[in-house]
Amino acid sequence: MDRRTFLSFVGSLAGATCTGLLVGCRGHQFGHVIQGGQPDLVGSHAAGAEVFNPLVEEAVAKLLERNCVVYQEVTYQGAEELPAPRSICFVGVENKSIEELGDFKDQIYQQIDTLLVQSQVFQPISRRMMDAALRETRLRPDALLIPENMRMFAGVLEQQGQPLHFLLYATITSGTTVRNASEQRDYLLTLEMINVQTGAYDKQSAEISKGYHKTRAGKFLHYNPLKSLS
Amino acid sequence: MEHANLTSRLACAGLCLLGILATAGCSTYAQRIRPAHEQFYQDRLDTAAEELATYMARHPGDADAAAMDLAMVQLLDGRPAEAEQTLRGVRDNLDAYEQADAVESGLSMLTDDQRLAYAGENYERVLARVFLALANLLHDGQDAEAYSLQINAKQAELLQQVEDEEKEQAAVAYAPLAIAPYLRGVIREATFANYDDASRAYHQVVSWQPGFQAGAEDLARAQSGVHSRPGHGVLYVFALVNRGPSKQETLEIPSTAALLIADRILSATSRYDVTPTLAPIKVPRVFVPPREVDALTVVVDNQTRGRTETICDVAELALRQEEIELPKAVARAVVRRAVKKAAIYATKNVVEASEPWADLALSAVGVAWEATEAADTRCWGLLPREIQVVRVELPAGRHDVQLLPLLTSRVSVAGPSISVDIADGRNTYLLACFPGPRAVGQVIQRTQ
Repeated sequence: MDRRTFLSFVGSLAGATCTGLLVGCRGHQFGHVIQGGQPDLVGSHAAGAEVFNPLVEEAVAKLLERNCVVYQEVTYQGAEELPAPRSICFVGVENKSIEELGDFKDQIYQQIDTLLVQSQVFQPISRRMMDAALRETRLRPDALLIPENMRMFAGVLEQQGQPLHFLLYATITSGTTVRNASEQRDYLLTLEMINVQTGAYDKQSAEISKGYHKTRAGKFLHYNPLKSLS
Repeated sequence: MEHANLTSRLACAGLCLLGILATAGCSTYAQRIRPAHEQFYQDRLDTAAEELATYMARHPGDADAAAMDLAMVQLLDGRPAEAEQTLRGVRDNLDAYEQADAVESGLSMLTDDQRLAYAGENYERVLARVFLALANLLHDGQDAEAYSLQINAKQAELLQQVEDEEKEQAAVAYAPLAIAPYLRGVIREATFANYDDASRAYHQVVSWQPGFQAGAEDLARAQSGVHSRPGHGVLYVFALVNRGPSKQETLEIPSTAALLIADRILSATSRYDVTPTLAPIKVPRVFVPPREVDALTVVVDNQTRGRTETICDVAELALRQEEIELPKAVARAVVRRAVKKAAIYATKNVVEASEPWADLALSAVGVAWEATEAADTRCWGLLPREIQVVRVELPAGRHDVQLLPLLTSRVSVAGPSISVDIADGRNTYLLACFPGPRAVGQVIQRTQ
């Protein structure tokens, strides 16, 4: 092997390997504020803001719409008098879907709670009071529907000056349909409101379906407009 | 001719100087940080903290590795808020340095991996989040759940970065850690309103770490029981047990021998000698000291109430991930050698070192240059080998709690005793460190 051959061999070996190792400079992470009109990021592997935000808005709007009509009363004296808002204890969000909610669970709770407070249709009981009542009674949220437990729980809240009219449960469920490398997942948020006195309950839900594909072509293959026409 | 000789001598002198300069810094991190570690293990936390702070000021390139040790000292010295702050800074730096930098990588090819900004091993990036969760739990608990969610998010991110051909091996190395859902389960259960989360979390613990005996009981309680009986609270004892993994410099003999044969073959067929591979290739290997403590026995008011179990095997995590990372470290070391040999050969060619003494002198410089390399042994050296935990339900009020280490020889020895306040319906957390039979630092306590 002559000198030039050896040098080019070693040089190209070292150069090629170093290039492979060295490409790229250390970058920085950037953040930006997403403006009101801009769409949410669509989660590639699981549901995110694009699913939960509209689900919460729709389900709560439906619940408020129905209950707003029911409790609007007019007196015969002529002057319209709105009834006092009924107190409601939003017990929590139960995740029965296939996915981890992670940090979204408390976000969903706060979103629903805030919408209830803003609506003025109900008077929500503070979460801190509810947590304190659960701690004092040592009751599980799912055990509150047993009449004796409900009375005990309502009693503790009343002692704190919070009469209880309704219990509200939110449940997130999912259903997954798999076709080869594509999946369709239907997310359902159900709000279940129970009248503490009568045991009667109302239920509203909102649903969003999402497709997950291993390839970009997956979306086109399963959800293209031409397919729906045929 | 006269001019060529002069050039040759100048080049030789320059390279000699370079070699001498580089030699000056060839000690390893493990050797430099040892005095601080010794202070820690002798339970002199103040001195250890001072030494670490001084070291960080003197060696800014090693500051993040030393800061992880400092965080351990702060945590066990009863300053969890400071430990959290230190670890938060380290976590962010390690994440930023994960991306390679071209200039640093180039410099490391001329010297060694110690010139790279310390990005931490993958297990350290994950464990930084584990200790952030623990430190926060022992401070105000506000962010502990967020940190617990970040633990497995990081593991998943690391798994995604792995090349396709390594996926099978990496799936084991970057398997989710049971301590993350365990901490989340503990926190969610104590809210009394999120048993579904706790149940899901404990279900993951049972699936991911079937050997954790208490997991089944935790799951059953979250599914159909309550956090604690009326008038009772819960004590969680977290124990950092045994000395954990650290990195030590080792000689990579097979690669060294292969390279020596290769350069001898090239020398025989080339005009000049290729620098002989006399200096062995050095790579960092994870070293785990032997176990001394099996578990801690928790004695409350003179009654044995439980024994800690491993929820996170730090050593196993480090060793699993090393299997994936070691070939890359060896490859980098071999490439570095090739670059250095090529540089020396190119110099011989440029200065036309045809005289035997010049060829020999340049080869000697090459050998010295290669010998200056040291393995990058920067690491989180004060990690425990295992993180263990036990849950004890106790009546509300003040209790005398003793932590007795059970040695591997099945002999139980005396341990620290503290007074613990249990609040009705709340969690109380204790953290103790037993790198050996004797505890180091304080037993930290906080009620949720």
